[in-house]
Amino acid sequence: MSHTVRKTELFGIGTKYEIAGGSHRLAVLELKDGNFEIYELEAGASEPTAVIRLDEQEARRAAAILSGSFFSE
Amino acid sequence: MAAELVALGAAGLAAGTLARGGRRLALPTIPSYMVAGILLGPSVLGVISDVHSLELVAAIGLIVLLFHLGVEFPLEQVMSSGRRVLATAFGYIGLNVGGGLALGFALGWGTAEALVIAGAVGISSSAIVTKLMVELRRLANTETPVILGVIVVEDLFLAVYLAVLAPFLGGAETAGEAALQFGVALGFIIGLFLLARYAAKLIGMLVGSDDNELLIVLVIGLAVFVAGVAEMLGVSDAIGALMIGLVISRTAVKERVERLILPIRDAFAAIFFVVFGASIPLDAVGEIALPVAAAVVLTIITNTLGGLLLARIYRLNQRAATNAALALVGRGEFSLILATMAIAAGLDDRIGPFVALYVLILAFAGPLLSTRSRHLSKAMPTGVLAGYRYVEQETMAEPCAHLIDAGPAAPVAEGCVDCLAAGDEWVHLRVCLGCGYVGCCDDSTNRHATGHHEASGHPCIASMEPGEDWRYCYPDRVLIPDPEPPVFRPASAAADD
Repeated sequence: MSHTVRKTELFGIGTKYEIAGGSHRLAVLELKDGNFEIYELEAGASEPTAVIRLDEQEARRAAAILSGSFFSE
Repeated sequence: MAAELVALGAAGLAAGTLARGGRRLALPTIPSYMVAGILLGPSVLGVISDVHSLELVAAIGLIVLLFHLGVEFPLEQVMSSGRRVLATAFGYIGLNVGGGLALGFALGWGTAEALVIAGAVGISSSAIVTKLMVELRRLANTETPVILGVIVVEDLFLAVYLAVLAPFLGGAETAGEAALQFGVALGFIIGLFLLARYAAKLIGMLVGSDDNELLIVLVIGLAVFVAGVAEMLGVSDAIGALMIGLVISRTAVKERVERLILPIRDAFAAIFFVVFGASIPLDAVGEIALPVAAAVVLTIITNTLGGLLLARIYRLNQRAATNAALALVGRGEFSLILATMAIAAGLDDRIGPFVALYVLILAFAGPLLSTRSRHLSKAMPTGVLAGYRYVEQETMAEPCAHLIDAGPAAPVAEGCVDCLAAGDEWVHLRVCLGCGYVGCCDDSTNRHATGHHEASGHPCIASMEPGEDWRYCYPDRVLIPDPEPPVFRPASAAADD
């Protein structure tokens, strides 16, 4: 199944990137205040099962780990 | 000087402390600031004994509030946003401002008063609604971009509305004077609009600097200066600030200004709200209790209709309609700005307490109702959302991403592929949106469509029955009735064209 990313502008809040595929959806939100939020939405549910809020630094670190470019030592 | 500094400091401390407490109860900050003002004001504690001594600071609060709104205004997106957003927004504005106008005239306080009430009752608070969306974790909901689109168009409407109000607030004696004032206001707005359109680069060079310190000094100077000139012309500092913000939003320094101005806006806008609270004469509350109750009931009714309209236009279900209706109920900064202008213009002095109490009630009621949206949605008159008869009980507020990505697939056969092969019969036909496979429905004995989904993993189907136009997603268990654009047209219909 293809994992397409859909970008939506949320006026006054930020930008939403939705990753679809598999049994759940992920929405990554870049907020105007510099923070990030990640929503996990299970199929058929009307409310997100998990919401993770990251500040700028946490987001950068998490992104480095997720993209495989984080090295220690 | 000492008394004023103490009052100003106390205003900030009280506002912040109350808002921090309110935040624990998921309340927006604006009503907390107002309550701080009421407590510090002459009618209760008397720490702020002379409201006029803080007027200049409050005016700066109002200016940076509107300036920031102008700077972050997504003009381009609004201009290019679809007809559906505009139709929804103007429907919403028409319902709410129209209702407010009717109420304003029914109260019989005067024409200018009625216009102020229409705006104060009709325009949602951008600050409260956006914060609510984040805090209720609704950023991924389908209705959220639409709600935010409505908010943005409302902001633009406010700018025009302020211009329309100018002659009424300017105390024009004759029709000619009123026309002149309206002309000046409109000319000023159009002038700044043209500046934003064609000469933004020039303004950017005028105030631009690579150094953040110099940039913010210049930009604040510009914002306050233009607001002052606007006030001199009788247009109101509020519009001046908003429009010059719009000009800055078109320059290269937009992003930096947006970031730099935010803490300044937060600090000074809080003072504006506190001073507004302090200026409310509490003894007038008894007199305006009934009109406020009427306004609150009216707002809930017009918002319910607005929510239904939004869901109808976007083909969303009753939960989305309820979410939108209850979120947009929030009233705040714009209502208070209009009330401040009315007070400054010397209109009926019941307007101040009226708007204050109205905003307080809705600012508390909005979030409280919104958290109960799921239960309240059962009371929504869903008959209007005819498209949703299939999923009356569905709670899904977002159509699934599979369906959004599923392209139209032409049916590969006229009948159920596997039934035809086996010589069986079927009740209804479904077509797989992944590959065009035609299978029989779940009321048929063989249930080939569902079998095909299980075997192939293709997520979405559409009905192939003539006159039916809906899609269904298996993994998300969501049904989208009557989607746009049509999934496919039966061969017979295509032949008719």
